[in-house]
Amino acid sequence: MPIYSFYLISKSGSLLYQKDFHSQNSPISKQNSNDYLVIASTLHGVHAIASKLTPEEAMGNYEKSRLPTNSNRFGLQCITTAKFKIFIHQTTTGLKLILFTSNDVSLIQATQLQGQLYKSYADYVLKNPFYRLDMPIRFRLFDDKVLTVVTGYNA
Amino acid sequence: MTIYSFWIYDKHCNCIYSREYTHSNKSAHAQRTASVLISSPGATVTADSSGVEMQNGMGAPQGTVNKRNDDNISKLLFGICFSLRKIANSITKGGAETARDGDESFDSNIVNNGNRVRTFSTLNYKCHLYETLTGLKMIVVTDMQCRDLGTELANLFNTVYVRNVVENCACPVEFRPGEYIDNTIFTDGVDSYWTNLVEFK
Repeated sequence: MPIYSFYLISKSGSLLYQKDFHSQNSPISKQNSNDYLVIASTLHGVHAIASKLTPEEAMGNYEKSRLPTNSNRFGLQCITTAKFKIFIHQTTTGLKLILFTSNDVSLIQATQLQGQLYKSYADYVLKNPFYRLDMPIRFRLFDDKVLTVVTGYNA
Repeated sequence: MTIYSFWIYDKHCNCIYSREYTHSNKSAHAQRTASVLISSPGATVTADSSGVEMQNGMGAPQGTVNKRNDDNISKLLFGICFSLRKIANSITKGGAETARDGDESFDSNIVNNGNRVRTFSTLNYKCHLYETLTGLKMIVVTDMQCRDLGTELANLFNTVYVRNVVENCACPVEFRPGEYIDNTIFTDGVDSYWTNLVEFK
């Protein structure tokens, strides 16, 4: 169950952090940095549009889902394509954690992993005195932590 | 398991068919009692209306046909599909370059880098997409527990759409803006296809 890449998007839709993980036969190709920004902001917009599209009859369906409660009640949660899946997790503060994974990862597994990644964000980015909010994240320690969380999961 | 709506877009991005299903039993019941009340004076009329009602209850499900083709919901739905398709294609390793050198034979697998968006979901609903090589898009909106209906959409295209729209001489090949599939055989075919699925409730 490989994880292909991980994105962090701020509440205003700008890309804070992006990492591609090396895995065998990953369908995801390397993009230039501008393309990553485009992808991040498109996902941010699409997430908002998806909440507008909720059919009236379906408004309360999120209460029935047995997933751990999160603040992403109406927005986009999961995108399935023929080659990979995209999972979007939104925190209460509007930060989005996005995972590109292989097709056999379930929503519950992805939510767990996103929880772990959010924890390392809280510990190694927010508690870093040199970090300014909503600025791109460039910390070795956070890099390493993300890598250990994901490789621990991939293995 | 519920199916909320069904949409078809042609290659010019126009919504040529939209169908919304309403499932609330309350409204159905209200309609039924209303029809009985109206038709109560004459016995013959009552019999008639009950016949219609039976048809309504069994055959055609409630909802609207081609009522929302040009409103914002339809446009936003198309916009989402368009953006997601763009992401899915741009981020995937191209299978297209390898096929381009040398052989001229056309392989449908290399279109869109061999990748396509199948579904996307929120905690409230799930959308299933199917796109033909001619650029026709079919979208069905269900609840989020639903399985992937991509094969069902392909099947619907092959049976109902091809037979009642493509092979229908009275249907235009290119739909002008404001022109929809207003073909009762097609509408009935689509309705019966969806209502016969386990997912429809």
